[in-house]
Amino acid sequence: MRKLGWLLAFLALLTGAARPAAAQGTGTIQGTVTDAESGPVQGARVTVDGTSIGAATGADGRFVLRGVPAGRRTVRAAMLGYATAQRTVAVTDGGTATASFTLSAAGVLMDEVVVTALGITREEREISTAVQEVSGEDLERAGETNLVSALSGKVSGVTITNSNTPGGSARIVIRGANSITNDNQPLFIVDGVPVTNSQGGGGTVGYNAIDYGNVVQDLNPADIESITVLKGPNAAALYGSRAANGAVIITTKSGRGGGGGTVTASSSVTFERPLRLPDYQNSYGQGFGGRYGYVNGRGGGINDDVDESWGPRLDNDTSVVQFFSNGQPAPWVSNPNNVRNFFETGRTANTSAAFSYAQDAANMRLSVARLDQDGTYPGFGLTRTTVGFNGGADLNDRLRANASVQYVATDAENRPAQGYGTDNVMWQFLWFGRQVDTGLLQERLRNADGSQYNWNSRWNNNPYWTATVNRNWDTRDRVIGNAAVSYELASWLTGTVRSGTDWFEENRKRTYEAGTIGDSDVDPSGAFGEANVFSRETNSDFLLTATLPARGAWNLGGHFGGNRRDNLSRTNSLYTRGLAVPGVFDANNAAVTPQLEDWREERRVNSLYGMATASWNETWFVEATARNDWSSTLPEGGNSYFYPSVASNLIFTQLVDVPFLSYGKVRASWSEVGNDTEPYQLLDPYSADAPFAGIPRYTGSNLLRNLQLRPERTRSMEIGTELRGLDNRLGLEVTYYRERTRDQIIPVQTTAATGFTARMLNAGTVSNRGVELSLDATPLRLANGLEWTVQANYTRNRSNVDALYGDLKTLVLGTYYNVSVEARVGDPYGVMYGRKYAYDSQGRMVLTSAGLPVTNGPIQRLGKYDPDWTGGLGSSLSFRGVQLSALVDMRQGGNLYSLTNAYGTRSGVLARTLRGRETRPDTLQGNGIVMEGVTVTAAGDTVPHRRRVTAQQYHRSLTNIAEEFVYDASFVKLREVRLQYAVPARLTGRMGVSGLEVAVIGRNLALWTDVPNVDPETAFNAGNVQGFEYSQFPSARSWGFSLSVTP
Amino acid sequence: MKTRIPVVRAALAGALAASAAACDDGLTDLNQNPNQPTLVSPDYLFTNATEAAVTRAMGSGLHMDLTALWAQHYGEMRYTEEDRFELRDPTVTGHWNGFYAGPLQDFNEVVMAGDSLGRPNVEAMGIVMRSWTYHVITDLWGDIPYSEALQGRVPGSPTTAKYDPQQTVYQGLLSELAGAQAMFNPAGIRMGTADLIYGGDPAKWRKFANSLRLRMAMRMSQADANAGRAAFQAALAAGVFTANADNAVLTYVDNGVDVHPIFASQRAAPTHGVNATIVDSLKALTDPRLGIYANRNAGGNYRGEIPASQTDVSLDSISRIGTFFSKANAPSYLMTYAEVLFLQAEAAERGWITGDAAALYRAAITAHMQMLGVAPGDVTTYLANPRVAYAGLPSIGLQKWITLYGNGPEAYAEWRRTGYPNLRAGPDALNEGRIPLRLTYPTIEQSLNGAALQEAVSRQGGAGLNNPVWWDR
Repeated sequence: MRKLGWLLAFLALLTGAARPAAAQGTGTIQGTVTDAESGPVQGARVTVDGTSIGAATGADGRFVLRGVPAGRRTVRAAMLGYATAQRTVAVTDGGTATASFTLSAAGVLMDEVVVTALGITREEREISTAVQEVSGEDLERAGETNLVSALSGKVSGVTITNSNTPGGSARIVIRGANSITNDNQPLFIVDGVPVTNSQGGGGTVGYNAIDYGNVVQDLNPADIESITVLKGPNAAALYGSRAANGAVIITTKSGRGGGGGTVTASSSVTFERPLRLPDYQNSYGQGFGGRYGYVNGRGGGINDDVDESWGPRLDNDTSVVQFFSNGQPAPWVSNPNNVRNFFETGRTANTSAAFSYAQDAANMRLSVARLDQDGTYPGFGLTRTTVGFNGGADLNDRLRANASVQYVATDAENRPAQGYGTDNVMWQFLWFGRQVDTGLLQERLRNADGSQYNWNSRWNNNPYWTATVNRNWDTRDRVIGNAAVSYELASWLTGTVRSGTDWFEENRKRTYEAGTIGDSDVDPSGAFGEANVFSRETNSDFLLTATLPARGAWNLGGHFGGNRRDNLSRTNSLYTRGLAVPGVFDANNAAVTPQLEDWREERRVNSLYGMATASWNETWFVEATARNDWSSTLPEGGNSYFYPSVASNLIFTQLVDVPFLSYGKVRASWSEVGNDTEPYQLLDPYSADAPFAGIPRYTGSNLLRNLQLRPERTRSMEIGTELRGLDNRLGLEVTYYRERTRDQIIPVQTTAATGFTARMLNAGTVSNRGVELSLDATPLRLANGLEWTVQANYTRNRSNVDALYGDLKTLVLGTYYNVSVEARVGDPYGVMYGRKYAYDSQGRMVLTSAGLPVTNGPIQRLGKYDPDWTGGLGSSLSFRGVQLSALVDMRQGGNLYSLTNAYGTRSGVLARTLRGRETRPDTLQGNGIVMEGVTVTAAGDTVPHRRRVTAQQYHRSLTNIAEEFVYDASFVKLREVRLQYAVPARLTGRMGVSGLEVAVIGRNLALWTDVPNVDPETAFNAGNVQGFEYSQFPSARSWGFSLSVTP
Repeated sequence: MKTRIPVVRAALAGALAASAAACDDGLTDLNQNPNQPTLVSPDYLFTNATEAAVTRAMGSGLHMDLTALWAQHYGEMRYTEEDRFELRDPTVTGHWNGFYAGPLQDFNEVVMAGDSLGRPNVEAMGIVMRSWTYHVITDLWGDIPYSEALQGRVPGSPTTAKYDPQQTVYQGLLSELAGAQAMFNPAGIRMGTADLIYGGDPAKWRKFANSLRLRMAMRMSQADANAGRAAFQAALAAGVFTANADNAVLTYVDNGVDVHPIFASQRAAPTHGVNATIVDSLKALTDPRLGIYANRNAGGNYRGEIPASQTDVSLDSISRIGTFFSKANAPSYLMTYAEVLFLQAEAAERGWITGDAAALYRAAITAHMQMLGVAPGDVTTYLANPRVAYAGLPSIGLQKWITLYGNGPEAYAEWRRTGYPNLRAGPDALNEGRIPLRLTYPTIEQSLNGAALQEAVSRQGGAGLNNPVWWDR
């Protein structure tokens, strides 16, 4: 493949040398863009077809385009909310042509200019692949601080799973998972430069982990001009390997305004409450077998160490010795709101201001934003300060320079812990005495001697101890920036050199106060851990853009470029389980040898790529791309891989008249994308364990590496159509796609008897196919200004694991608490397996001799985590500056295994565990449940069996029957509601400002689902093991106000 | 043509970049792992594998949460699944993977490195520890992958491995140990402190190798008595433990992190107590070891946890595991001189060797009590107790079961072989009220090594909890 690089270079040389440069110079186009009703249009984008030349109009609606190649040029003016206008002008060498536009408002956008791969702006009509754009305004209006979450329901083909914790992770997958074990999230690009969206905190599936969030949420939605989603390898082939999962292209706002500056400011405040808490029972308190009596909370009394609610009946005029009653019986009464009261009303304040300036030759924008968040979790706080700059200048007729930089500082404290473990308060409320008064726990918190005041002393901490005494902090400083210089080498050729970086440094600290209980990694003297993470990605590239003079109806063009990507990450961490002096959380105060981690990782990918485009009469478009990568992670001699794509589309309405259709396009494309692997996968490493009593030690890896790895390949094709009609009041876009990723680099599981539990191999094929549909309509548009619009998105993806390796039938992606998520041959990716109830041949339930249900036989398929389809439905009603809009987000199908339900049933805290305890208050445990079924004799015969069991026996016997706790995860959420009012100019003028907009916003206001007790939308991390819910932190319902001013 | 020159320059720059991309020699260097070595001394592997194997077999996992419960040395006080014979698949899989892909593979590499580096003492130590580990797991699972196991590094090796009949595994291990004991050379290069058991002393390793042969030979007493007798005699002749100083023991360290796994698991919230069966047995014998095996309960008494029971007694009323065995720097005995004496007593009783079974029996009890620091006067009193008086195999069975406290896998194996003492499942036992006779195979083997597993299961006539292993049939 090394030869190929030379070949491409030679071709580039040829195109430059062999084609006589047309003897033509350049000219200027200038003009104005106006609205027939309201005068000059500011911020309209004016572009010249077939070039990268473009400018935004100033406040007076004027624009100037310099360096336009001579000849007949098509100029377009595009602005959100208007139909794009175009006209053709003749440009002469050194001359100035005038092109003025009058735009008319349109409910539906046509010929919008879209930012595509490598930052090349193209008209929608030229594009032969599925892309979808979301405006910055739409993002800002979502009232959501995590950019990924803000896309929920707005884009077809995209599945977003929102986080439950404030500042937590949101997962985004486009067109289903392609990779069996690697990241399936798309590539994020800011102003042409890739940025990382890694998840802080590493594998947060486990015990007590904190979700530090996906890092793209560092970006401030108010700074974003637009987001373009490139939905698959076809659109993103030029971005290479990482774009096999699609790409999300973010363009930040640049300077606008003519001959002076403008300032805008906006502010919003929202308030949060838990959207949904489990439905707890309030009839029975702590204990076991109906009995309870407190002595020391460690098992010294009657079941006083039991953190379950199978105790005596509450509100039954009885008194029991309890943790607060100093050995005396106290009334045994319920506290129905003890969990709800634990959560506070959260507050999120977001304020941003921007200064924007533009003159003919230069523009800049400077913005500052501040986010303050107090979640529903006691003690939680997060602040994010963003400073952004974006500027550009024409240094002379041929040379243009651009730079943008974002600095983001994030500070957070007391993030809630996730997962199944003692640091998660929702876990604590599952293993809980339902009668416990949490107000008392908050009020007293510590005993007189400083020790923990608690309702038990064995397993669970006081939840306020967990939330406010044991603390965590994290800070992240991040810089995303790039600088580019472009030079017009010839009238038809522009060269651009760009370099960009994304780096961040993160520090995390977590402390456990002396006296913390129930955690096997924390000594009585207290403990702490600290981690420093550094990540840097640098991309440097060059790009040559050629736009050949039109030949008759034909327009030809091309791009050729190269990229070098360098990644570096470093992690240093320390954890000590014991302290010499309690309360001093310093490494030198460690009472035992701390555990250390030290990791450094580097990777480089060099690439060359090219694209050729041809169009006929603005009607038929063809393009082809090619890219070759050289990756440091693949073996020497086999580290080069080439991949091509072709695409075409036809605007058929230009050729034939179709009734009702004003615009119709059909498109098709095919592509292949290669992919490398993670660093250091070729040779077997030995890993050090902390020295044993000072003696160093090493152990071999459980994963056998492979020196013969080849690159992975993703092939995909898509066809689609875009239709507009009925006076632009109806638009429809439909895409069908198929993708297949083969030769996947995966750790193939092997029997441990080989000495290794897995081998790194090229194996496995996963295919995805699906349909994406988006519809926009304006059912009502009246002359008086009343307008009603509707937007809908629909996505249906089917994945299939076609093959793994040899006879291997399954690859376990993760196993947690009775359920494993697997990639099984012939099944969709991400199927869930676990045990089911046992039945005899006549369908009677098999019971133990004690009358309890059992599981039998091998694990069986319980469901899959991917939904059958997802959809979003938005609607907006506007009238004279007042706009009411709403967005509903839907997910149909897919399954969820809920540990809140499994363990809340076992521990007797959930309302469902009242079954069998409804009546007979005279008995300790209620009336019980009559079980009917069969028992199996030693000979294998079934014998009918009927037996009354207690509620406690019954509910506790269900825990390992995974089937019982797997649910259909379908849901409908009222994602956004917004009522806004733009104060009319005649009023704002009197206030001394030029624009004023006020709004009431609501987010995640309502949830409809069949899943009991939890929000089915749950992601405790952004990895491939999904469909699990582990004592989930309650997601937030929020509402509030926003105000934006342009002085 | 003034535009021509920049165009050519651009093309040249492009060509240059292209060649730079394609010929970046730094690419491969960049992929060298700066964090982890790809070659290490076998000493480092041996330290880690020894600690890992002993901790897994004799610490909180296989020992405390399975075999010591089933041998009724310990009891689970509150969460009693394993105590009631509910064996969870992840537990089984964890041990299977934990042994094979962990210490077994590491010991295997120690053997190969010892061979290639010309360090026969290291090679032989690797063989002894690999054999000890294999022996623990074959006694739990019966037929296991052995002859085709640990071949992952061999280029082109299959991803599966057949199971060998347990008898074949026994023959193989006896022969490997016989070979290893002959390789030890006190004059050769020693390992030193990296050997956590003997500090690298080849003479002691030789005795340990032969003592292990003794243990394995006796295990064949029912299944293949002739081979067992021959192997026993050969091992004894080669030199076995002769004093408590020879004991194979790993002692943990009271430094907060390298603590004994029982201490580690019980320090936050104690889950285990001493089993009522052994508490009551020791009480009946007025055994001075009671206070060493068990701590007094909150009331100042010794009271055991009823096996396989779910009764909600106050936890403070149950005796916890004795400090000697549960302190931070507690020892884990892989094999003791006392056990070697019991083996000889049984061999004498069976007529495999000549010797005074009763005297060997008394010597075994004495050696064990000395090891635990029991006062000499108490030893004498105990031996004079008529209930302790030697009465053939039942006496050996009972006393050896007491002696093996702290070594769950061996206590469980010897109970299965001899039937002494007569243990009964507790009141809330699952598994049809029967104490299991083996571990089930991990479910994942059905997917990853299915044909081999199927062959092994049918050869053994089933591999459920109540199917005995070869030497127990």
